[in-house]
Amino acid sequence: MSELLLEKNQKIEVDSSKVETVKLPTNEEFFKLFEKNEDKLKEELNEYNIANRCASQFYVR
Amino acid sequence: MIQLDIIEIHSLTDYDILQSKISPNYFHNKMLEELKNRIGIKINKIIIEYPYYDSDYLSTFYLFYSKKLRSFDKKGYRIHFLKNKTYFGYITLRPTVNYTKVGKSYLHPSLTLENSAYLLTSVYKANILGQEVEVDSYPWMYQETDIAVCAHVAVWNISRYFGNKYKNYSCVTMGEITDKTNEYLGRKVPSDGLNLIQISNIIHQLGFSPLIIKKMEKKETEFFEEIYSYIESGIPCVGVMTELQHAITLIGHGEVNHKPTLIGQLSTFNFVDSLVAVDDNYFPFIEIHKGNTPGSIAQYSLKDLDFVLVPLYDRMQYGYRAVRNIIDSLLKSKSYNFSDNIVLRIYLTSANSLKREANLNASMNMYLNQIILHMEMPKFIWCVDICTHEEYVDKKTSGRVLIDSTCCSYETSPWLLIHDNQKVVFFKDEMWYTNNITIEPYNMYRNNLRRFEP
Repeated sequence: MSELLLEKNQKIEVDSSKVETVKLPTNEEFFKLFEKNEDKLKEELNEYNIANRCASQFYVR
Repeated sequence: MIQLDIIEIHSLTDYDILQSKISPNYFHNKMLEELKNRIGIKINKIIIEYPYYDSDYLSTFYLFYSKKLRSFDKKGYRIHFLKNKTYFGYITLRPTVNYTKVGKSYLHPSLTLENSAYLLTSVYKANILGQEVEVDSYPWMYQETDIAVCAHVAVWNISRYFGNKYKNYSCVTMGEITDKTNEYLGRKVPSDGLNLIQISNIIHQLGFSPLIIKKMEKKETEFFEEIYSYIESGIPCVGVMTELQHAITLIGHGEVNHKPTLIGQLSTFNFVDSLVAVDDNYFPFIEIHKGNTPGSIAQYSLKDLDFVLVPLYDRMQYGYRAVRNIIDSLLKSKSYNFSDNIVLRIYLTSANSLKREANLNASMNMYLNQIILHMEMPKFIWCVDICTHEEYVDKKTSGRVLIDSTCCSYETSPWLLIHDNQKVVFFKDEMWYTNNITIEPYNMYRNNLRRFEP
């Protein structure tokens, strides 16, 4: 059996004066950049398909 | 009856006594040379245990050796290594053909490492005449050729590592791994080798969701950064060298060095000069350098690696490349106060481990600590530590991004939490909250790899 210490069980005060809600965690520029990067990501994820297609060609012993 | 024979080791020539104590069927000069050159006088006592029935050798014995005209003995030897009374692990010996005689082995990395390194290890137990001893190690053996080649050994040691460390996975024998091999072109036994699809299929049958990564032309840096990220995540990877027709298991990295001449946005791979592997051609824990290095044990370098298979947990759906891509947009957007000279440390971790380490981290801002401890998370999360070069060398961070590993690849807000040194933004009850607080650099998460010295 072991001890359970609960002194860290504090409620996160999300409605205190210091905490504010925000619509999104990133600015508008982020979404523009993300959209711009989308093709690069598609290409990079497609490289996994290329890897899978090549995978049957190589033998290790 | 089980016999223990004790040999005191004071000089390299003392190893020659093994030749007179072990039957010639189990003994090979290559093994003797490796014992002398790699372990040498780091230990001062060897215990020879005979007979020892190794479950892995027995599994291949019943599948393969028992069907031969020439009789193979079922019994094996187990050689234990000690320094004074401290246990440093064991190797087993089997009566198979030349170069293949060392079977299932668990050696403490300090015995064979040339330089200090960070490794994935687990605690393995051995029972010697009723006494239970433990060693921190990573599984290793020589390959048996006909029945099991390098790829089988790589899959076997990954299974033994995960099976010993996590209850979700089972430890399978070499015979079971051979049996799970899908027949492709050619025969299963004797094996002429496995292709990457066959390796991937065995890993899949063991309960993983394997990812195959290929080194693309002009993308060598990205290839190694991705591998490094998975190693830092505590995931051993099968490294494939197609030119050499060889597979190894990548299980760690060499020393982290400060590189004051480097500026800009760097990955953690920039700070190491080598990865560490287990290879069934050499005793374990060999360093593989970025370039050809004279005197290196491995007769190859990282340049020879061109494929890697990563045994992922099936709910790790959001991949490294999506993380790298979205972090790039986040940094360029200047949504947060991150400088241009930063180090990105990208890794997967379990929510339980992250919370356990946060709970123990006295240097972390209390408010941030509370958010992390109370946050709802999937089983695994991507964690990106964003720190200055100086903070990284000091093993500290002042920025962190937590990402849901179960989200879709093109999700625009996969975040669970983002913080820089001025504010923390987090996701709670389908809402985003922000708090402007000063976050001083705190100790980085270090749980997946352990540092070992030679």
